[in-house]
Amino acid sequence: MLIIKNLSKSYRTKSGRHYVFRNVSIEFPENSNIGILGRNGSGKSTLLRILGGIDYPDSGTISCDKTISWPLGLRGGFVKNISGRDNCQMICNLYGIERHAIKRKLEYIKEICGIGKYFDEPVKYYSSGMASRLGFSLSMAFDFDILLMDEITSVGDQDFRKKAKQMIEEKRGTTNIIFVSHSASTVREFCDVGIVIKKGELYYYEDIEKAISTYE
Amino acid sequence: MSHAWKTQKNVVFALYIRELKARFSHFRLGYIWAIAEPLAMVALLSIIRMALGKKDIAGISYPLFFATGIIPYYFFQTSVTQLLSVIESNMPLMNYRIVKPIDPVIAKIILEFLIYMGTGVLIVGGLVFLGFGFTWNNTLGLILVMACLISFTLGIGLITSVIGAFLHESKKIVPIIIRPFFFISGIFFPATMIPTIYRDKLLWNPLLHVSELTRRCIFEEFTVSHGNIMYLFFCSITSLGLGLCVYRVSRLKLSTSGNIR
Repeated sequence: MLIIKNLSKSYRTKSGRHYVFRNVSIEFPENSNIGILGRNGSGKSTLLRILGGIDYPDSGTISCDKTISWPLGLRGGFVKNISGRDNCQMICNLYGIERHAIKRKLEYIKEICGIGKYFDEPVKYYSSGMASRLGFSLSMAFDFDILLMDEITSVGDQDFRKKAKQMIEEKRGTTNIIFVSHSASTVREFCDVGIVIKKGELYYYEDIEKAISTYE
Repeated sequence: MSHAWKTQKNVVFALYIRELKARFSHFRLGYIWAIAEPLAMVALLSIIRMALGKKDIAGISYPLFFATGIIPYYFFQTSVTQLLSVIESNMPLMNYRIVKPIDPVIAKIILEFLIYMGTGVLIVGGLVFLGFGFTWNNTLGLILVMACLISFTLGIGLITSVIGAFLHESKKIVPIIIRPFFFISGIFFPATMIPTIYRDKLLWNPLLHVSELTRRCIFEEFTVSHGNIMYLFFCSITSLGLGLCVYRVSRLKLSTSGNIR
């Protein structure tokens, strides 16, 4: 169960304090893939970062009894001058995974991300699609309960998107996604319930179609 | 071990491995480069000293004297200046909630300390092998002095990490500020050789105490130490406290500064 209580978040701008969220509370439903819709700059990514524990609200609490992934997205969490393999190994080390398990995970990641020999090349030579393939595959190796995904860029091209969707389907029941987007069609593809961000408020819809129609 | 400690231990260890690879993978024979700089400095100072024709400094043969001053100082200098860019270079890893900005700082300090300790053992061992002798004095004292040096460096290092993350100019300014300490930290002369009126002022510098006390603990022959372990201890605790305060105040900004830039 993922619950947000009285969340407020603001940024200092040149023309004074800008509130992204003001005293927002919401309960995320269990066992469903959640699509979060909002216009550019509405606070989607901020929300995702807060859920991922890498940004901090001014006030309010987030409580969750499940494991949440890091936010997957374009920016990525990879060190540019070392290889994809070294990055994955380091991130496994960060999470304290045993050495023999790391070896298995690396094989698994290499297999599903499908970037071939680039796996052993420095990440700076990757295209953005390759980097997002690697990011998605890495998070798949970790068996999180909730996957945080930012935009469609986090799953690469059409081919890989299909594969990603299939993998998410397979893990339904154990892994759910929270998917942030400004595009209705991709949200429709991946999610069953919707949340619309509008003027710093969160509106929950049990039916994704309803969310989309309000959003549009 | 509690969960938080275990997590941090894993994170620091992973970052330590990363720093280790980054430091040594650029060049072939990377380990030799780590020794080369202090070794060259010891050789240079020794040659100058030799030309002046004197054999000992305060009862210690001069290469040993220089080596025991240079190595602790280089540990401090290298750590503090390299930490200026530690937040920037580890920014991608702030994407993982278990990584806190202080973790790469700790990893870096541990790595630099181990490198310079290894270098120190090799250089001093090599000199003994070449026939420069001394009588070992006080192991426990040396451990205490090194602990103070680490704590002092970590405190200052935390401050430079924060400054480096927010102020780009600091990457030029801080090394300039630190450089003069090479000449006033007792690396190539003991405090006893400084005229009394200046000595009292220079002894405010904790790094001078580090040099004096390191030699006092290693060499039984070095009997003229002006180092005061209580003063060094006080400085290291103050530095660490101050560093942790600065970190604590700015830690949220540090880990999210990548979002804003």
